[in-house]
Amino acid sequence: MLLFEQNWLGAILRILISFGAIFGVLVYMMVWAERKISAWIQDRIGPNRVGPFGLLQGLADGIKFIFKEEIKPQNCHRFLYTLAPFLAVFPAVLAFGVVPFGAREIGGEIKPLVVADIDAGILFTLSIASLGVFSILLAGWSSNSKYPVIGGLRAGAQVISYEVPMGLAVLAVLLLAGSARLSDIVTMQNTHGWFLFLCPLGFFVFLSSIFAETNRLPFDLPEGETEIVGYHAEYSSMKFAMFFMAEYANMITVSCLTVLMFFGGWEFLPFCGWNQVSTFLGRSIYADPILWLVPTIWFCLKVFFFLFLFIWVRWTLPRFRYDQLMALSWKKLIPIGVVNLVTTIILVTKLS
Amino acid sequence: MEAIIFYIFSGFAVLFSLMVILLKNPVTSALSLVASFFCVSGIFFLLHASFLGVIQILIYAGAIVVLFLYVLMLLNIKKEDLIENKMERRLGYGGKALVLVLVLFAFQVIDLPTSSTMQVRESFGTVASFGQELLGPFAIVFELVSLVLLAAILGVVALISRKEKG
Amino acid sequence: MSMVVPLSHVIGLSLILFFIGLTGIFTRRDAITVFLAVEILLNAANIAFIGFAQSLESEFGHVAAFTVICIAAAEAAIGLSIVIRLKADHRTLKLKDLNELRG
Repeated sequence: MLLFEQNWLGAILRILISFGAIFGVLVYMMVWAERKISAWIQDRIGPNRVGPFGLLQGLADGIKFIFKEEIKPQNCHRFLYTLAPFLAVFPAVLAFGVVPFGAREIGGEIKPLVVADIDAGILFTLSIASLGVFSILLAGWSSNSKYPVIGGLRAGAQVISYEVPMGLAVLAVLLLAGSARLSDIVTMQNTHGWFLFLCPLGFFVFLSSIFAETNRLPFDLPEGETEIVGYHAEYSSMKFAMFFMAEYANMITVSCLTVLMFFGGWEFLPFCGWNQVSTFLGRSIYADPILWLVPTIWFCLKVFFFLFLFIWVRWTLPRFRYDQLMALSWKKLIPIGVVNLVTTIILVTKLS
Repeated sequence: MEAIIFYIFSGFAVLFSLMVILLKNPVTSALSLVASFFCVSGIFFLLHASFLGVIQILIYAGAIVVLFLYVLMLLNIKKEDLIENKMERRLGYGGKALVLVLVLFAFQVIDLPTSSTMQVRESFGTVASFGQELLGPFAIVFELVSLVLLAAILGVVALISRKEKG
Repeated sequence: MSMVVPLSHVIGLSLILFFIGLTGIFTRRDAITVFLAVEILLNAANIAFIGFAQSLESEFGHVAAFTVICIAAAEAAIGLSIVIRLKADHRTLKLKDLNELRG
């Protein structure tokens, strides 16, 4: 199949599909799902006028944003001011390039459905997460106004503080899997059970870190407009919308990573992968021309659960104050991450 | 095909490095340095050093330049004058021309193996291979580097946290 | 996996970047941009290490480049704290004015 070829055409096809899937469909559906689910949690209906079930509301909002007048601050650094929203979108899409969605058996070996199956996959996603700081810092600084500068520095400090516990949790998963390749991590969870059960502390640390990395409640002090002036105070219309699109793209990427690392990726159940299901059913799921999409759909269902979790937690927990936020990262999550790492080391040496 | 991409990446790396030293605003200099690091990381991937390519983005672009940007923004450093008077400007340009001549001279002198039919093994530059090398024969380098990082942390604390006089 | 370009081209790129960094150190007049030029120098050295590592099929070049990156991180941390101390004490970052040791 052309989709799995390791040459240029296959790579371009995979890039187009993943890019189109994220920005064409998933971000749009995330916006709709956020508004609808927030409404249901708050016991109201949400958008239901524009299109069936309010599905075209995002389109209407996009058209509104395009027609809005753009107000630029005086004496701002033109180039950086325009660059910052695009720089926010860039890491979110780049990290999606190493996420495997499923697998297919071609010629006897199982090949993952991924844009680039690089050897240091997890480390690549960590490094792309570090690039998200640039857009925040630049957005604050190029607005040439006191409060956005401080807001940008504060939000940037939050993001880089939570990269450390995220790295510690990822390190524990790397030890358990024995390889940094994301498709290998999923395959190892087939035999060892989901890593959720092998390092639950790591899952907890990672979950908290990704909420903070995507600036999502309860860590969204930088963008809480009612409380504090954030780094995008001087942005309006399309650029403002791009920041939030980047946030949704980040959420999708990070949910995919959680599912891959802790919930078995596209495999069926903790100790029962699709191979066992294939022997149970009598026909091979990976090699079947139609059924090979079932693991991918199962993966997407798991990712949707995590996206629902993001929206659910947003309306459940109150916002952290900034000093509570930083204390949580440095004084609580990092020690827990280190304890998790040590227990994982002991577990790995005992198991092998 | 990969050779064309290598030349594109190296051209952009040289361009962005030139922009680092030619631009007046320090923040845009730092950003073109990030772009240069990206191009160099792509070159690392092409040279079959995938772990180093990832580490380059993770540490250089993701941590060191962020530190630079924080210091630039906190100290509120604006555009600086690049060269102040005419004599120094002439010296600066003359220096660059001399550098160019030296580089071209170096190209003539280098006589390196140019065989492009050499193959490297499939596991070259992978995380596992790099780890075996770093923690095997070069374990002492690993320990010394961790000591250097510890010294850096202590040095930063010693330099910055000083009691205010008066 | 074969070599993509001849080794001399990789070393040529490393040389060009090295001389650009060197020019930056000689030309720039404030402390932080001199630091940025030093980072370009270290990058150029890394490219040379990786090129030779591929040519000799030895991972030592990778270990050396990794060490250079870690030392560059430590140096950036200390250098920037020196810059902060300079700005706090002398109020200027122009290298021309920081000449207390001269004469």
